[in-house]
Amino acid sequence: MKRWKLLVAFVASVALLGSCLRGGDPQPGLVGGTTFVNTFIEAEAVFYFVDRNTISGLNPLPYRSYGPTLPVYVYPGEDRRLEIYSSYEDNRLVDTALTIQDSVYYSSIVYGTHDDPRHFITEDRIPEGVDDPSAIAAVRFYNLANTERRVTLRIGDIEPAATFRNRPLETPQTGKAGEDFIPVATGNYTVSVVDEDGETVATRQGTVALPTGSYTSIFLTGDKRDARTFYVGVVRQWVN
Amino acid sequence: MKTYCNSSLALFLGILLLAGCIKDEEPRPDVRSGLAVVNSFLEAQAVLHRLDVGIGLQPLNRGQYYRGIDFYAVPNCDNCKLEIISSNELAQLVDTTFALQENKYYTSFLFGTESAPQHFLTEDRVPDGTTDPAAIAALRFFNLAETPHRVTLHIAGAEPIEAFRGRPTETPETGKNAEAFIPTADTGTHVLTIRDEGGEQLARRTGVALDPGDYLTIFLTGNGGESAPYYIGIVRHRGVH
Repeated sequence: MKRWKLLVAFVASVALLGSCLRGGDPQPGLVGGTTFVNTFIEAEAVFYFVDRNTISGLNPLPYRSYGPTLPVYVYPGEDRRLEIYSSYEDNRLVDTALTIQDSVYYSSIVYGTHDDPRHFITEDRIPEGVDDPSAIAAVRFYNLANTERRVTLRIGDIEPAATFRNRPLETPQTGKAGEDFIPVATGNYTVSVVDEDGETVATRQGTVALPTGSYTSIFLTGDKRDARTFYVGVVRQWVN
Repeated sequence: MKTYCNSSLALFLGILLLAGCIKDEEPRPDVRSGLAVVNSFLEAQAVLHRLDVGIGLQPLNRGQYYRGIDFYAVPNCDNCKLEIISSNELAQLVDTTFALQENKYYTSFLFGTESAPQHFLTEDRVPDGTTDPAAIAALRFFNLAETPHRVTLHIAGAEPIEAFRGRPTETPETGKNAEAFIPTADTGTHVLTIRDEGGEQLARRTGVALDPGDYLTIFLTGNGGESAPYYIGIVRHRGVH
């Protein structure tokens, strides 16, 4: 009988004291993920598969767009297989193995032509030595247009940083090497891309806002076969 | 009380354990055959396939355009009748009978001209001696074009496979004889080119995915003219047996 009392007391204390636990389910924060950017001009859209699984929002992803809104959390590990197919005759543009680390943001950028599809993955990180990442704005620039011209990014009247100047069409290596964001003064800017002769290749309509805490990829896309296709793309990136 | 408790416990235990022995009504897979149909008949906008599996001729589709590739699961039958009708004055192009065995896969190829329409049906088999069909990739190649050339299929820069060299336009016999898939270790993403006997390129196709477990039929179609340029068609087989 005494044992019964002990048991009741135990259960009661668990039940009562349990409510003293500060509730709140663990709220997982978004700690990493991959953003997919489609600048592959020769198809209306591309399809993405990771380990043969489709990704909602990316089936298909039209040219000159990026997604999904929240980056895809690809499970960390080695040999995650990324395949990208063109909407034109199911051409496989990319078939590559990714190594994904936890708590890292990535961007996948596909461009080029059916004859020479190109792709690279960037790690999107806060520039080194920045004390307060939310106090600065930073930009990186890519030339993803099918053109031989070397192009320079002009953000308002700011003197272009070295990595924004005279960029030839990226190779996967130069793309990866140019993954660092370069801090720039915050503000609203007219953004344009000029070639080596100073001739404007494309201008972004309106202004581009670079507020504090923004990390932005700016790129040129298009094809020399039709100059009207040149376009300045702007993607606000997740970083950490 | 004790015996009652024990016996009811035994009863429960008995029900629980024996329940596992009940032969459940397992879902019975439909007995079907896989039939892929390929339209390489360039003289009509579209063709209509009508198949009789013992209940009269039924249309498989509502018309299949030139260069179209479709797949159907149809009931198996010993004496199937297939009729193919052209959208051009509803001319009957093909009228043939064959057997479709259960859970086997077949592909129907239509090509040729209005005056001499050609047709053959392949049986899509795993290459002999294959232990794991999902571990290998295999190919076959047909020349279904209207061309005087003998054509050769080049896969990227590799030396062409013997059976893919110097193929004249198929006849139903040569097509049927070349139905075997040829295994290749050369998986990946390839550029295909088809060249004539002089080495001149007739058609090209980029970004062809070939992974382990892929069974592809590659065919040349067209006549090289403006309305029907040479074109490399690819059938990704849903199944092989």
